[in-house]
Amino acid sequence: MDLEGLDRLGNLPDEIIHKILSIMDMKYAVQTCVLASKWRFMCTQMPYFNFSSDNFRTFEDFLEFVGHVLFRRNKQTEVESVRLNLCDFVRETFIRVLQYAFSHNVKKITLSCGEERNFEFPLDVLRSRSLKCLKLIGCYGGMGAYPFTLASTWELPALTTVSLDYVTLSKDITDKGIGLISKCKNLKNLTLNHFRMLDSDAFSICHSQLSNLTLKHGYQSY
Amino acid sequence: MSTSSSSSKKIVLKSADNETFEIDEIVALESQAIKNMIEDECADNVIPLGNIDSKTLSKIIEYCKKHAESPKKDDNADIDEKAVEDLKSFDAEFAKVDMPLIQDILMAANFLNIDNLIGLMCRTIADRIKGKTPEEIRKILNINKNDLLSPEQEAKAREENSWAFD
Repeated sequence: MDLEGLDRLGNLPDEIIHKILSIMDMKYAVQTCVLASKWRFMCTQMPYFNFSSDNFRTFEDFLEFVGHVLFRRNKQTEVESVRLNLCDFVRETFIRVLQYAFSHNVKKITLSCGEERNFEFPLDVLRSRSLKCLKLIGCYGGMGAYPFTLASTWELPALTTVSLDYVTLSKDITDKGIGLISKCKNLKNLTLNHFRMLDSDAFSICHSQLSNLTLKHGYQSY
Repeated sequence: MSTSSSSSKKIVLKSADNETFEIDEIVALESQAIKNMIEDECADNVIPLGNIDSKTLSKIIEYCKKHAESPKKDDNADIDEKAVEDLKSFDAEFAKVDMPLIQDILMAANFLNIDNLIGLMCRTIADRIKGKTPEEIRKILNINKNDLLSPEQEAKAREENSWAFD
């Protein structure tokens, strides 16, 4: 029985190949279009985004790439999950990717930033009826500057799980008792790790559905 | 946590090459497909798996045994971190096999609907083709020569996606 010459992946359903591609950075996933006929349009049907600006020489190249991926994508295919890793920040790309994802009923979003930069993400654009899981991973910037500053209230009614790592909570948020989740009425799991509270040393959490709460490494800062 | 005991219910799986494997029901339940069969009572004493050979099946059973024995994430919030680490290193060791077997396991896991194992095999494949040229990837994945694009088609694909190629 000689099975060594068999193209096994060729027999797998597209969903499995999409899963493999979703683990790879979108740039390398798109490059698989030249592998074989089965792979030619695989990426345009994929329900996952995994964008990272790390693999591009300039941020302009990255922006162009994102624009092309969104443009060439099959518009009927919903977006299941988005991973967006930015080492520099351009408001338009951020908003464009997220709005596209929201209009395609995204369920899971992971945002991270790979470098010690101090920029604020416009998290007030987070408005979705479908989003269930949100993960923000900042990074430790010198002087304790965490790039995600949370100041607004999120309108995410379907959200069940939030995980925040290296984020800053504005005084407005801590004063209102973690007001950012007050409109997330289905939230069950909240994790805050490495968070700093601006001009505040405490906050209260009052939420009727919350069942799992993890708080680690919080501190006050001015 | 579940431990295998002689009194627990047994399930027999039969591979394509007619080898039989007797396993605890709890191990078989790692497969959503088998679980559905058992719940719908359409599983006989012996479940024939006509598209999975014994080499692949024994690997899959090894995986399911380990995962069935390990505490589940949802059971309890205070799962012991050592157990998580232990499972991680088991998975890493488990994936150290050649590509044809990886792909066979993936196909079988997809058929048996074992979510974690599908994820593990997909991550392993993604890791192995990461940073490789198309030519190298074709070789790694053993892509059938008849399915290749013609030189003209390949040039067109590259042109259309030029922003993804350096």
